[in-house]
Amino acid sequence: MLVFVTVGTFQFDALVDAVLDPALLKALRNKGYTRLVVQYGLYKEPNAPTEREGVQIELWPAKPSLSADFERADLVIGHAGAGTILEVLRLGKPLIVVPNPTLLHNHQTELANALGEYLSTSSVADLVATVDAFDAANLTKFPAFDGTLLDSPSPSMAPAVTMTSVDASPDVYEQDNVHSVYDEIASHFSQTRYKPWPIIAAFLQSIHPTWIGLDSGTGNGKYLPLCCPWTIGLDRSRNLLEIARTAGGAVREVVQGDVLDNSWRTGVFDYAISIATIHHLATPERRRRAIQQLLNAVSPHHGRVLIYVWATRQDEQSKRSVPITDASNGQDVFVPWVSQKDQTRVFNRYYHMFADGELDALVVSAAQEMGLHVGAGASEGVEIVQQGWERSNHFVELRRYKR
Amino acid sequence: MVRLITHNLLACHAKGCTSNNFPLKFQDAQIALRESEFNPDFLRAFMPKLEWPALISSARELGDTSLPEQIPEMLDDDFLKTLHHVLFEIEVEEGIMICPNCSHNYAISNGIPNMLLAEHEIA
Repeated sequence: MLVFVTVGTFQFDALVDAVLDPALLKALRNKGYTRLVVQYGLYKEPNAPTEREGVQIELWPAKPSLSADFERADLVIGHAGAGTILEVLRLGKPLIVVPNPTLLHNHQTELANALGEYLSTSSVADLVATVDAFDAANLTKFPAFDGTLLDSPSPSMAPAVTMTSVDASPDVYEQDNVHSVYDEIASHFSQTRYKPWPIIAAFLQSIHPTWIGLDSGTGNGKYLPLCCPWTIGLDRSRNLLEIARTAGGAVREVVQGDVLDNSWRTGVFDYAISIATIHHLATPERRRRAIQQLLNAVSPHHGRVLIYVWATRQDEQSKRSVPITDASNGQDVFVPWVSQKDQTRVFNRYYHMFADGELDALVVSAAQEMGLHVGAGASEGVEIVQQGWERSNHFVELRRYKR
Repeated sequence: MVRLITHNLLACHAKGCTSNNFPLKFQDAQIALRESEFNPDFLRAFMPKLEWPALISSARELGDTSLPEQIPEMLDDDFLKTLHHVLFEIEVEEGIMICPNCSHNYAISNGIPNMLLAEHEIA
């Protein structure tokens, strides 16, 4: 069996030294690993034989792509970079993460801890003991990327998603079918949902540690512990905010407010995220306005924005059966949530499921209505950094610029 | 919690209220003090985003007069520690924030400010 060790593009000599140490090689050999491949990054002189303690050793400074190495590995040991973690977990490979303690602010440790049930975390000093005790069977299988952020615990048991249409003034409709539902069911989310969404964790990890951010539609605050010192959670639901204010065991700053408003000094944030929120707004105009308020909230010079919404195009792994009549304009639906205490109580939440291309078009019209050029090359504008569909969701990442 | 760093970002957003709508004035504020980790790098980077006169007047409303009227030229550790305390360690638990322009009241209860407007008040 093969072990692949990677330190990414950083210098992490202590980890390289640790994996080449006879004590660790012996531990690996005892577990049945006979080949070790090390991608050692900026390490100056890894001086190791091609075989030690019965383990074949192969050394590489850098590789253009690590995918093939991850693919053939039976165990990966690596620094806690978000990209590495996600790629390895998605391949279903056992992973031991050793965060690099010399990196700024140690967000690596936070990310690894947040993903704790899917991987094993160690330190350079404890690595031998970790390998001795390691059993991939004890790790939780990395979940498929499900669509609904605040979902019922067992989608397969949930009643079907049903079509709906907005038959009241949108603010009243949202009050009845979104806000009051979340206030009612909020307490449930204090116990069950603290798994971070990996793609978003990666975005947050790329944010500069001195930046300030807005989590617009923060819900139970699950993303607040994952980023910089100062991310403010905004939500309409008072009861969710009561949970969010201590998300991750620390005191968080939360504000009760509406994503259709901008209750901030314009442009004061460095970044904003809107995860699984805009799809609760009942008209295209309101969804567009919510995007504009995100663009208003961030710096016109460098503000970054990440938006996720639920898609009509559902992943094949999604157990939900979703009625689609209008593939081009998206679909208004009720997603039921069944009370765990009383199975006869069903709360329907309103969602607008986005069609392919609908989010992108909405972003473009939102920006243009604000007089912002969409794309690079103007004196002021919004660049679409990336957009796509993944596992039942559309996402778009934006960056404002001004020269 | 409403700490002064957050308060320094908030502005009134009621319909038609677009100027002189900052900073919101504290009234009947009940505060708690809670130590937090000192992060000088963050403070230095955050300084340009701060509205200094607003911070000074808001801190005084809460009974803290430790910061100078003008930003000092030297951002030394003593100054940054004072700034850290004012921005991060004074928490408003209960009270009201009042818009200096339109007098709209925003309540703070259990540390959570309510910035919601009625539908007809939204700009």
